[in-house]
Amino acid sequence: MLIAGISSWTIEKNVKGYFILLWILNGSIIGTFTALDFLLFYLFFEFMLLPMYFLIGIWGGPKREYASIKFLLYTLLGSILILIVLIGLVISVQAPESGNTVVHTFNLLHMSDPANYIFGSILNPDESWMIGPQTARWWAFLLLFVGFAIKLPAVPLHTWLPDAHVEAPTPISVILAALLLKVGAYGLLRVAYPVFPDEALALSSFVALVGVVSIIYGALNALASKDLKRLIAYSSVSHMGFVLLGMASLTVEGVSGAVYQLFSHGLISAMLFLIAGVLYDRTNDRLINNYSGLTSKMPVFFVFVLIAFFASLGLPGFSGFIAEIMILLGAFASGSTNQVISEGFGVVAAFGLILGAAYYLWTIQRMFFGPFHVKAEIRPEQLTDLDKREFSMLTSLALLILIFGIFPQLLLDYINPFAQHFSESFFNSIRFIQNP
Amino acid sequence: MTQHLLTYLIFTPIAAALLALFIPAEAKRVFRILTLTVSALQVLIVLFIVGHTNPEFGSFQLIGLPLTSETGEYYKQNIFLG
Repeated sequence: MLIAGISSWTIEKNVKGYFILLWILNGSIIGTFTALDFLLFYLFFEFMLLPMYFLIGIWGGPKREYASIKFLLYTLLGSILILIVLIGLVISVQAPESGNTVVHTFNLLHMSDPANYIFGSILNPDESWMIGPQTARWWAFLLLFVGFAIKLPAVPLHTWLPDAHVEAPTPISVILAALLLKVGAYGLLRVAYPVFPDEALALSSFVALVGVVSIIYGALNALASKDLKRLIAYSSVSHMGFVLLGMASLTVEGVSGAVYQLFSHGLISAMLFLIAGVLYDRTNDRLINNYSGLTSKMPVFFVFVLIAFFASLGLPGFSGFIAEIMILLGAFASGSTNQVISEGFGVVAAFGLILGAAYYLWTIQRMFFGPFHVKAEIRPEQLTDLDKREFSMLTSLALLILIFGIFPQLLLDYINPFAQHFSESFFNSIRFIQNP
Repeated sequence: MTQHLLTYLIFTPIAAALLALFIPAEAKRVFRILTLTVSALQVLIVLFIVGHTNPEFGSFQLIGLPLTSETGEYYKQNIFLG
């Protein structure tokens, strides 16, 4: 948020309204990440929509109305699915030690304990109601998965993201990629998996498949993108696919890698969108083919582009490498340890890394190498190198990416105990459901 | 002190949004400086939270009410819904 705040200094239109919405968005995002109560989580999740809708719709690019409405409709659909499950859970769960009187609760920890489900209730793990061919719990997990997968976003629910990114102003793109997408993954990790462990286990291969399809489809779309911001948006879809794969493996390595990826992608995507913003601020043009040989005009900018692109494609020494290697380790380990997902998913995901290298290196080659050339409408003197504000933002992100790439233990010391606890309580809940 | 850290984190920007209602729209620089101040304050709170987090404990931390079986009584008295 600090980087997005500094990046917002270039906003000139209705500054008061912009910053008020930015602060409301800020509070809502933090509220979503800190809520322990499902109702509160849902309320903050909803509060995020309106500021983001207005921030894209008022301060965005030429197609801002279309992009903001698409964003709102998609996310609202996801919210409704989550609300249905929330209602089902509230009527099914009671607070522990509430005696003979049934005291319903929104507490996520109580919802995660199979012992707290009311006998005969719709989502009781022992005797869940049947809705068509599947149990109500199966449908509930699926609804939560779809609701959060829209936010993540995962293919085929991702189409709002490239439009929103392309039209959003740079600071809002930074927040969207670095924070908002993470809410989807956080919801899966904090709500869907702990509350419905039995169904999460049964649908692990499906989750892994969605993850792998997102990795490959996102990377192929990035490869075909002509707009730099659209390329970065599709690379985000691909990287969020890795998060799903890590989660689906249900190994400590996979879950740790998924959480590490959330953190790392937050830094890298913020840097990538700032880079796209630097170019757009100077020329009002983001089309890759309209630039060639930029290195000669913007050498310092080129250094930061290299750092961001290499970090995003998962080169060793950068934080992205640690995340992706752990996710792949988890995916491969799953086949031989807990046998939740097949090693084949890891093999296909590794292919996605090669595609990642392809679209980033091709972009560098087209935009920065060769003789200097820009389209006729762009004057070469517009292409000035970074100013102090841009340099400070990009330097701070680059340093963090390198620090967490070289010293991953700084973060893993916090993530690993969580992943261990997550994995243990997940399988304990499944054992309890199978042998109450 | 640590009991309300997450609340401070959530409501610092909300308080800034309320404060901004009383600042004239032409004072662009004030909004920008206020944004930096709020974000820097949040970074400090986050660093304080990290400092008070036990990395060896994998579950929820810094929560106001201990979430044990005894909390049933609290829910009965405070948010009775059943």
